Amino acid sequence: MTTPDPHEEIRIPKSFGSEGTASQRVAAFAGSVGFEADRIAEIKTAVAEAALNAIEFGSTRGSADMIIIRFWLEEDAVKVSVSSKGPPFTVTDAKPDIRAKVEGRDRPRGWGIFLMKQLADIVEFGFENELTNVTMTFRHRNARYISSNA
Amino acid sequence: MTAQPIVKLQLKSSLGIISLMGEFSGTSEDLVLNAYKEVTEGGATKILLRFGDGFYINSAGIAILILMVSQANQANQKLAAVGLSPHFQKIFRLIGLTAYLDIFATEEEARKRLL
Repeated sequence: MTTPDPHEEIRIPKSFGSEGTASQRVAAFAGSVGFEADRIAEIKTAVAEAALNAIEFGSTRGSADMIIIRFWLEEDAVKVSVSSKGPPFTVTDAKPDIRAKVEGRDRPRGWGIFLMKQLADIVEFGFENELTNVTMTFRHRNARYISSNA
Repeated sequence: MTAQPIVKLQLKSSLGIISLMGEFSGTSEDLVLNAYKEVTEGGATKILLRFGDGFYINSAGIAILILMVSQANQANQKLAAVGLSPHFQKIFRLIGLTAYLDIFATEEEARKRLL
């Protein structure tokens, strides 16, 4: 009989500062399954950005709605899903233009999705049942940890 | 619990040193930009950003650094950074901030380059 891979789910309020709680929990999980410090730092930043996005662009009920964060181990990767009520993502492949921002031709914000895409191996956006979702896959760089179900 | 952002200033002739410690986010705008304004009004033509232990920044905080870089750029001030963790050096490179802000391994190297 195979044992289930480790997984967790947490819910955080839609209030600034909650993204830190989420990212630290996921970081601790990644550490517990063998990810190294540099990869954990990347996971922490990407998860914080996903949660921050949900806080900023989610439903107008504010902290009355919760953000659902699920994270689990799948083969050699930690997968993180961040879901909340809110409009679907508007995703573009264009890299934000730092020069335009420094020169004042564009607003300085707008780096969250870019950072998620740069730090995670796979980023998938979804919208279903009024819930907007982003799922990120972070592969173990050295792939030394292998799922108990492999 | 998040670590509160802390900013400390030093002005040594035309060199302004802004030390940043703790966690920076969108609510840190006044803290960072007031620090920049103070060293600039004090005569700084070169600014060293000294990132301390426990420094963390999210994309909203990075936007504030971009605002500061924008003002420094307009004022023809030279910028350098020291003390950034490897992770945030990577983030700064990905974003392209390193085109406006040289990152150094030691403060000595940073000061030499700023002179």
